[in-house]
Amino acid sequence: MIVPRTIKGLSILTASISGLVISALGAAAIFISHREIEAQIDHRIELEMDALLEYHASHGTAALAQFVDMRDGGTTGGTGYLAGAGGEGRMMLYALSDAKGNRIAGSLIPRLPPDGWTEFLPIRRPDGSTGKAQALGRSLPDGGQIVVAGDRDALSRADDRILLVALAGLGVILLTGTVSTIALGRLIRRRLVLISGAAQGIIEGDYTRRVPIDGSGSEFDRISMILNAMLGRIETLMLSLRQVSSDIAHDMRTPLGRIRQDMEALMRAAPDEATADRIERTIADMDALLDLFAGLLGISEVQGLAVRKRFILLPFAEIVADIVEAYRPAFDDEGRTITAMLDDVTIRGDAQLLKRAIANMLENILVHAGDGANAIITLAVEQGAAVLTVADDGPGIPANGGEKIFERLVRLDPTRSKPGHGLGLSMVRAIVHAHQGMIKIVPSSSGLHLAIRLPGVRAG
Amino acid sequence: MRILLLEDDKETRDYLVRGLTELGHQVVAESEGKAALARTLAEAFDILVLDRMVPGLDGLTMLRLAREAGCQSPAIILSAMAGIEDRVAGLEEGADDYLIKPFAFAELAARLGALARRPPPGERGDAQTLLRVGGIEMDLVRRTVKRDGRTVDLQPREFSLLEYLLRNADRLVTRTMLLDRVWNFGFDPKTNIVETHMSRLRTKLNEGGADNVIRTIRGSGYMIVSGGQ
Repeated sequence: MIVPRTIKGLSILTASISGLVISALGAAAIFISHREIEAQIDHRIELEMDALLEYHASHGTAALAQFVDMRDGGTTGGTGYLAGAGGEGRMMLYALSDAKGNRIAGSLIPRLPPDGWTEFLPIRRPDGSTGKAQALGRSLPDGGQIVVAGDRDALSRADDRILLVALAGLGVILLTGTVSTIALGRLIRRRLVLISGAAQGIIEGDYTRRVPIDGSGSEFDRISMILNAMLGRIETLMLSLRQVSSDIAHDMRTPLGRIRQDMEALMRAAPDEATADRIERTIADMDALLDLFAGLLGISEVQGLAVRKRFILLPFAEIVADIVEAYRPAFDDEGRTITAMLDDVTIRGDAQLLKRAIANMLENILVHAGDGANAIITLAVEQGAAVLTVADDGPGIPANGGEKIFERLVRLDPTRSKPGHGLGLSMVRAIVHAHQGMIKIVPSSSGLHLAIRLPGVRAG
Repeated sequence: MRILLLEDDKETRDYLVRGLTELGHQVVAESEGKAALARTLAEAFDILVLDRMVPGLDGLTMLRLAREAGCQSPAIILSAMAGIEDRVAGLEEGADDYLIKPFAFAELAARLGALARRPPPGERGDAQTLLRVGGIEMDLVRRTVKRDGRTVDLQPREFSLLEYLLRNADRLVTRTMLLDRVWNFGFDPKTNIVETHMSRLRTKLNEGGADNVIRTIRGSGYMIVSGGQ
């Protein structure tokens, strides 16, 4: 069974069911009233027939013929059925023939039916129009035949009227259904737009956004209040996370600052070069720890997306070229090359973060791509997006490395002896996501190929 | 130089006062934001050194109020708040430099030197167009460099690097200062960007057997000496 999942689908289903019910009701009404009216006509015909046969028995054929001529095509009364409703649709017709089949009286039934009931017998009305009638024929004791017929016009009129009412009902149902569906859809969409607007604001790092409430006490207001309570909770958590981060920063960095000061003083007073070296190494180790800590907090900060509020239009190719030139001597010194092919494209973003992302990828190549591996950087515009690929021609990463390289503190070097904390590519991915972009590993026969797709504003 | 120091941690404050006094500066130290603001508005200082998280008025608010009251002294923020946004906020509130704790004293001293040498805002229009230190002559308009009369061909980034060193001649220039000012890197790369460019610049300047004019100060940074060896 197909269950509709959209308002439109549900409305179409509801309207279809309503339409079917109305149609069925209409058909039933037509069927029942049709049968009832038909039965009434038949009953009347039988009553008339009985009366006429009795009249014939007591008064004879000539008197009956006179009587038939008088009543044929006239409106009747006195039986109670359909009486007093004006002349329409209650025409009774009569015909009388002798034993040889010659017409004695009655002119409106062109062809005499056999004895018994005949449905849809063609008739002519006094005004010249034609129609169909229910007819009952009976043989007279003298060999003649008498026919009594009732015009079916009343029946078809009733059918037509019920059909009209049913169709009108169907139309009203479909019309109100359509209008209310559109109105409901608008109402829901308007409220959902408000809700999704607030959610989008939160996604973009504005934790103060709330869903507006109109005070109507509607289901939307109730769900909006619940959402707002949830958003309030998120804001509180984010604020306390930020507070904790800066508290840790303060409480950790202040004593470390004092330690560093003491070490510097000790280094100046060191009795020999060897002691000074050891103190210097200790300071370097402490700085490395701080660096790891700052790296982790930095990734969380970029993931918090608050950085987005400072995004501006940037010449991306220039930024990439700048970083490539900054790293060129480092590649040259090791006899490696760095090649860049850059198309102009403007993107919205933060120059410092983008520089950091590119620098991290180049450093990743310098440290991890293997001896002599070269770097190839391209920037192209594809379907309105800026696509930056950073590739090397080293041995590449193990097949099971995959997406793991973007995780924090992951290092594919099992000895963990190479420099770095395994945060570089995590930071790259966080920066790319902050720019509403995507990063992926492009399968390649040699080396690691990273492709970054950022929403571009236009080709330069 | 007259330096205003705002720092609430006594040990750090004493250490900085001692170090800066040894370098020949006159230091006024405060441990609380409101007192530091009153001092700044009442007296003239060549430079403000402000910790961010201090009691009373925090360093950033203090700086903003001082700037609103017309104080133009260069300011450097010292802070344990090391986030990306923290640094941006510091610079947006009117700080000229932002140094994250813990830091090397040499780094602070070098940055103070560079800040003090900056011409005040408004007077930058008539900056010199020719820098001459020792045997090096740099024409900032025609973007040419000569060493003892011999033209030296430099890449744009090498030119900026040399320009910064020349503008800060006889003063220590640290690696992070160069990353900040020459490459505009607001982060610390793991690769020796500065060293690799510096060695190329040196090679070009020293062609033809000239003296090495850029000195390396071990563990701290670089310096161009105007008086020759």
